[in-house]
Amino acid sequence: MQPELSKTGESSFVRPSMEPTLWQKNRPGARGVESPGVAPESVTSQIPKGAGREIPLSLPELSELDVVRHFTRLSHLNRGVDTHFYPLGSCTMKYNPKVMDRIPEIPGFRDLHPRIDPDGMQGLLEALHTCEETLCQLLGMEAVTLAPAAGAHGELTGILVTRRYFESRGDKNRTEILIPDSAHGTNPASAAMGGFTVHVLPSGSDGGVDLARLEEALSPRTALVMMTVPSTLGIFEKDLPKMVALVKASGALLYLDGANFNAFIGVLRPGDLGFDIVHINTHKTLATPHGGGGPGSGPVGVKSHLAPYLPSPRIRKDGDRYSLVSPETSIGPIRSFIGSSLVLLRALGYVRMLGGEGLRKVALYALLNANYLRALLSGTLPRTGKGLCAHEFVLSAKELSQEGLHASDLAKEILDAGYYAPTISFPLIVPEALMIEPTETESKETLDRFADDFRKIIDLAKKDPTRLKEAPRRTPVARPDEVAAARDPVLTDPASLHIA
Amino acid sequence: MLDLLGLESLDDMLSVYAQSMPASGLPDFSRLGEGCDERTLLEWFSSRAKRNLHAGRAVVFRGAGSYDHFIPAAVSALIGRGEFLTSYTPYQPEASQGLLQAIFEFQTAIARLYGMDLANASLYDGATALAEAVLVAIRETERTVVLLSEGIDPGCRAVVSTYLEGMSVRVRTVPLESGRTLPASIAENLGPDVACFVGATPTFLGTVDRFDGVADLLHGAGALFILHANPHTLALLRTPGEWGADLATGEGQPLGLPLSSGGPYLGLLTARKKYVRRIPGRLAGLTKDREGRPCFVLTLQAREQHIRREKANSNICSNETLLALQSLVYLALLGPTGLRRAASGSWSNAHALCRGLLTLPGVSLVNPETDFFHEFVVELPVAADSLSRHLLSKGVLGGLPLGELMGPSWSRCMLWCATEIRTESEIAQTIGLVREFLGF
Repeated sequence: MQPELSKTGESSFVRPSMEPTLWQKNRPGARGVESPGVAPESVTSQIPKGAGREIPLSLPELSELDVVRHFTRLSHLNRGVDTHFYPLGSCTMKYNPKVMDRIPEIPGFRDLHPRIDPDGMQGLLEALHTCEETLCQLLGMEAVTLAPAAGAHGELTGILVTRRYFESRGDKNRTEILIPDSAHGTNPASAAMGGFTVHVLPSGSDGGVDLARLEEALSPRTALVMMTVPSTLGIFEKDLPKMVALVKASGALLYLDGANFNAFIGVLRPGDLGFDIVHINTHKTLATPHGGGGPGSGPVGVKSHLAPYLPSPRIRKDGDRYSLVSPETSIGPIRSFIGSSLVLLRALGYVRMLGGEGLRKVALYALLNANYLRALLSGTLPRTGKGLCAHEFVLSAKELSQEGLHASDLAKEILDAGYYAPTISFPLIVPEALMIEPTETESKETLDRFADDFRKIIDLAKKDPTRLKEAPRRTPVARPDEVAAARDPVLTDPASLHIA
Repeated sequence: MLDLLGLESLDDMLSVYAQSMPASGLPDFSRLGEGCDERTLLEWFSSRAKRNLHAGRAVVFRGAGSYDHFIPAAVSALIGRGEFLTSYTPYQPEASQGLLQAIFEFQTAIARLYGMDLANASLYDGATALAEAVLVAIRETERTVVLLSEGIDPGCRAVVSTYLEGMSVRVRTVPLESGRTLPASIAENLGPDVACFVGATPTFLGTVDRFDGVADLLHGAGALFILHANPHTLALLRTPGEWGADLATGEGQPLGLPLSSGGPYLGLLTARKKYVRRIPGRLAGLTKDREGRPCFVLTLQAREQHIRREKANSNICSNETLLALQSLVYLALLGPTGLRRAASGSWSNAHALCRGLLTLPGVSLVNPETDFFHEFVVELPVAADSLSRHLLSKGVLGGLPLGELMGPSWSRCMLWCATEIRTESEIAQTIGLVREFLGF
């Protein structure tokens, strides 16, 4: 489907027409699917005066076929892992086995009411309890909460647990969280939401945490040190054991942002490495497709000294019977009900299907693919870091700034070559960063083709930079005017104000 | 591939971990088993699922935050498309127009449903959406007291408290009188330190609360007015926008999401335009591309964690985009007529159920002075949990016994719900079962 890169820019490609919005397609009087119910007239007369809706209900009127064509056409304007190589660093955009999509469709899980009496949900509680135990084993932790709805939600959970832990010890001075400058933006944002002061740790020359700086920053005020392993540069910290020892000696707790779990699943366990708290993103590593931005899930594992503070409800097992309990010491609920059950069941399914050895291969192939691609791309743009990388690596397009180009320009040309783009402008410590994560599920052929195209793009960037400024040419739209979008935001469809 | 890297076997990759290796050596993962094929895997889950009394095995007359509504078949067919399902947050707009447009349409549908100016791309669930809205009010006013109506689901109120754990903010509960908020009860608690009052429509107990004059009262005191509303009921009920709310939130599950064993659900957050730079979460906006073509982008990202870090409006990154799409497809398939029809069916069935239960001796309606929508509380002559267990053994998930959530004084109270999909015969049969249990 994708034309040769060498022909880029020729006018043969015609952008597909855009799809009108649902409200622009409105056909007054059209009916979609008949819902059970009754005619509203019989009810509206019973609603007390002044308590009824008086403004129009502006939803589009369309047939079922109109709706099916609309969303099918929208899907054609969107790229996913199922359609394109998606080397979006830090996001672990791997292919997830389709069998996992079947698990949440089993009626016993899909149609189960979360407030049913415990007798009616024993199968769910058993499966989720098994999921907790499985994650404990994978993470080397002593307790796991399944409650957090995403990674950032897991971070907030871990931070509130930290707060409770020090409160319970009567230690009121620990008000600060140390976070490396290479960390995901969610880390400092979560720390602030949890009521802590953020102290940023500058990276050393190799992009890792600077041991001396860490030692200097640790104090009786430090509650928590949040680390990402491997770092967002795709590097395992060389001084990790020394860092752990320093943090422990200071009396602070140590948190692992497990966003990069795919790099060590089935090989290392955060608990063995000395971490007190870890969150993972099941939508990165454990078989939940990202869905364009969720739903995901962010289970948190902790060592036993922190277990009493985990969010309620907790699943308790007594013999063969399971129940939900809310311990007094808990930080309380952080969302409605037990957790994102349907997402967590997929995660459990993935671990059960692959087994210990299969998971180890996930990590090793993720490393192999990343290193293979890294080697193929050597000589294109300089990489931040030396030697073997972990599951991803970061290149810098800074040298192209003399041609007036940014990493974002390369990204647009990569889209034209028939791929999704790498993560750009992150981590913030690398100027003009391109963060590339191929994942374990891509074939050698895909990586070879991508590397060839990437080389051609870098050559083109040096020879004819203006061409890149005009990219992308083969996508449904050209570059959007983001400044105009933010200046006077239009966040709802103006056409919706003129119907109903 | 190994040759290019100068390695001999896949295990040579282990050298990457050398400096992180624990003193104890590599852990043993054999307890995780040897793996299995697809069939064996699905059998394991199916055998657990058999021990759950899902909606197909126990007729659902329980709501309390999760509702058993009709979902058209086309919903799952469309949201299962790989182009949506396997995409990431639309950071590259040129390759993500489909999803961006869907988010924009979702924002539109939810904003119009709530009668508000705008909505975001979703939050985790109704409870966390409410907590985030409270945080907006605290940031906006720089005040330290939050007033929550007793009509809000106690579970949601607890989540708000957890979110506020790290802040010096006090939460006060404004009691309901006969299932309604009296403006005087709000006024009593108002002061220069109050950031916001949050009401619920309908209330957790099902009553249709009213907020006449509440917006003016709060604005006069420099506080924000937030409403937590069930979107299904807004097809018929006065909207948060009409009540004058500044922000409104809700649980999106009733809009085309299955009961899902409690999650994932869908957090809805809507707002007046003046708060657009204060609210959390993704926002898709309409703009033009370089060639003048209308198109969509994620916008106002300067509010977000990946730009603003510790100064961001929230830490949220992944949200519930696919479920936002799911609810959008549901709303598009039903249209205004279908949604009103469904909501009217819920009202009508719940009232039929209530009338039937009230014919039983010793059963009385709690808050009889106030209208309810599709949920209501009755007081029984027996312990509610024993009735609940009995009904479940007969294939009915009856009303929720309230003792555990609300305290011992509620132990004979049960919160019932009927949606549009309940039939006359299911209602009659359930009333018969209750009659039988009560010994008549």
